[in-house]
Amino acid sequence: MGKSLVIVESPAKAKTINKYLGKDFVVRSSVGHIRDLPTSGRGKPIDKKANPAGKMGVDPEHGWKAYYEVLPSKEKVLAELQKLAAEADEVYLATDLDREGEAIAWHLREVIGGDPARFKRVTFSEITKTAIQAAFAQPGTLNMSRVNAQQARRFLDRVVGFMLSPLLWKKVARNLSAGRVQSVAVRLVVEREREVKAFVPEEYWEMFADLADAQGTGVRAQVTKFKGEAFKPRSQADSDAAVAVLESASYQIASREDKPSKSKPPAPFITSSLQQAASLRLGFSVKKTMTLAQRLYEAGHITYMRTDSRNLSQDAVNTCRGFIEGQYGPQYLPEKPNVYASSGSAQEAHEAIRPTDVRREPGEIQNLEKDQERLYDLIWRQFVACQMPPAEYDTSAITVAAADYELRARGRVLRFDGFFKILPPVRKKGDDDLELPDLKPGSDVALQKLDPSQHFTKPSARFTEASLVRELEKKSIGRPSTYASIISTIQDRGYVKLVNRRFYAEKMG
Amino acid sequence: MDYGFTAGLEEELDKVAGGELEWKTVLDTWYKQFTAKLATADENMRGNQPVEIPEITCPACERPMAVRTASTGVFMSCTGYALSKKEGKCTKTINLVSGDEAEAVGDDDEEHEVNALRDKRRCPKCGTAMDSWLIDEERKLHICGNNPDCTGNEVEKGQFKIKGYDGPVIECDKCGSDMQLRSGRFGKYFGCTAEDCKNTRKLLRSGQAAPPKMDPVPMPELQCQKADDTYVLRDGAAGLFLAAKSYPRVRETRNPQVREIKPHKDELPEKYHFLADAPELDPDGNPMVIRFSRKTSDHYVAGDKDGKPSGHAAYFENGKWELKGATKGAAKAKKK
Ligand SMILES: [Zn+2]
Ligand SMILES: [Zn+2]
Ligand SMILES: [Zn+2]
Repeated sequence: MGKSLVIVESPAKAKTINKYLGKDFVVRSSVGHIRDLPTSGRGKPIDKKANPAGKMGVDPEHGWKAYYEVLPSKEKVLAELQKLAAEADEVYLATDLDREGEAIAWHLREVIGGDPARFKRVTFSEITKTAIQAAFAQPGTLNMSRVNAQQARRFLDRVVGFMLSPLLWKKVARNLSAGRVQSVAVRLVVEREREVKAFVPEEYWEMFADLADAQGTGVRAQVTKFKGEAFKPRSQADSDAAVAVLESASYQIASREDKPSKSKPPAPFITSSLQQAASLRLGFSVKKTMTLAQRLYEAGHITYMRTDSRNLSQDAVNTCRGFIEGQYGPQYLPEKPNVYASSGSAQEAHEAIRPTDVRREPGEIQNLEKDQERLYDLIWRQFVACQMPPAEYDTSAITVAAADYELRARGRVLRFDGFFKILPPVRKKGDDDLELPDLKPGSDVALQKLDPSQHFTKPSARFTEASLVRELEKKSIGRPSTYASIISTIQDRGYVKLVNRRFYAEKMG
Repeated sequence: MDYGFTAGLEEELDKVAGGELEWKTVLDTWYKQFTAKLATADENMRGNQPVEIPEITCPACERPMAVRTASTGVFMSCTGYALSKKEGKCTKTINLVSGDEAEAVGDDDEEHEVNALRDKRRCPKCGTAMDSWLIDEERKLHICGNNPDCTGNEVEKGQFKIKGYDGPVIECDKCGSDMQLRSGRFGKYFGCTAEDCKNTRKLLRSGQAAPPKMDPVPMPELQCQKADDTYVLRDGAAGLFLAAKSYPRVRETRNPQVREIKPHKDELPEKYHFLADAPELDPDGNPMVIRFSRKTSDHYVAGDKDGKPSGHAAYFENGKWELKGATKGAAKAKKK
């Protein structure tokens, strides 16, 4: 029996897969795309006979006939693949499992040529021994529907790029939707920019009161109501008027409410939530996050990073539960596994982003760059946390009456840390847990100090890379495989710029 | 707002991937809509209309000036710009210096945004926050943040002595007054604060001011090769070079020969006097040409045989010229 050829798109991936396949397999990489529609920059003049569609490379007027060209830099790679394929009995196309991967596999089959029956398609959502062996035990065929969906996207982008002048593109970005995701992204930023600039900050005041009972037990409460309505002075005069009354008023605890509350663990990561969390917790750009995640995937450490599914394999959940029980004890193991629903549009039978082996704790992987390790740590924690119980609090609220005013103080004490054990909450300023003193309803308290402060209402926050992705996702625009490129394209073209990690619309002449 | 078209298309592609829709049908339908939209968009295309500010008149021709937005930033240009030469075309422009307080970048972006909004004037037409620009020390121009979509503007008169300026100050190499950091159409630069001195120096990436520019030295005896023009000696980022007098309109430049600059030694700044003392010819009798090494940021001279490196070069080291024989390195440096 001759050897089998396995083709993937990246050398790193080839190296990892090679470990799990026997010596009957030769694993090679195409090093990315092998062919594409022609570009003018590639030097070779367009052969009008071979390609009547010209530089656009696709002819929308005549049945979308496309004229693909092998990328000049890939001719050597292709020659080698063709030679190996000629010697092989079977060719396994093991490119990524999303549509782009499907399309690369199809292009490879087209350019390598020969009997189509010897080409097999294998997909897997993680590069582990089990997953690879399972995939190769049951190879499939190319899914032309998915290939065509990818071709359609490529053609759309190509036609828009060719038929819109750069100037018109800007107007389009503002004024009409061309069916192109980038234009929507630009428009979201432009609209937010206008909203921010049109916003007139309004003055308002807040007031806190430091109170204490006869024993000196103190509590800080905020004035929340005046005559049953929300207390929101609009000026210093209004605030001063309240101060005058409150300074001489008598204060009494009106009510106290204690109740338990819970904080549920987050869902495992999908592409957009990983980008958000990496931006928030690690300060990574969307592009950086995706590059690092891809390396972790190709090295076999995490599942495929372009996904909008929150599914978890039964195996992964079981291993995780075993790990939690062994590591943190049974009180940290929910009775049943936590299940997370995917959004309606989740397109393919993917999995959430998770470590391929939860027992491989952060810091235990050799030869990982610092930032890769930090991203792995984030993914690992999110996954373990998603299978842990909620954190539990005792919350309490005290209401204080003073003249026509009502004041409120809130407190919260963590009773059981639950998933916080592994994923401590991100705290905002002044968000500390606080235990309210034992003040009984009906008891009198005395005013120690009034603390009024001036504020202004704020406009909607500008988008960050990650929050823009979230907005696109909410509008069902873009897909996990395109978020990162949308975000770079709109910046590279100068339609928007990122200042201090916030998007600003560029002036357009 | 209609995001539905794009979102709908995305879902159709999902259906194509799922085998529920035929891809070329989806493409055809999209293409029909797209070309139709394109046709109407072409009609509605608003040109790059500059916003005319009647109160600000052109210092050259007294026509009103207009605010323009280019990829390099916001500036003012004379409304006589669009006229033909016969009608008295005027190409005067005024750089605008941002009049908003330096955009402090702090941790609390929201607080910063609110403060910036509160500081700004509101557009008399649409109520949007206006950006402000210093035209000169007496006039500040407020332009609607939606410019050029909204033409709202106001001219504020007063004393705007770049107040609160706490940036770097350097001494003007021409008149000795202070130079301050400003921003113009092509980025940040140092500008002289003296009224009648127009000296500027570019801000380099390193944060330093670019070295003082040399006044161009006319060389009326040197005829250009292609154009009917004579050369002037200029000092650029890549060292001394000969440029046509009407450069950059006539784009003819070349490296000067040592013997060509010798007669102009007295017109050169002192720091370049050493170049006039360089050997005029290489050992083979080829003329020595003045070159600039970007690597060391120093000038050197190299032999030139019919436009090709002769292989000889000389470097100014420890106060005197050292000839380096036909080394490969010299030939290589020459090629660049
Ligand atoms: Zn003029
Ligand atoms: Zn306006
Ligand atoms: Zn000066």
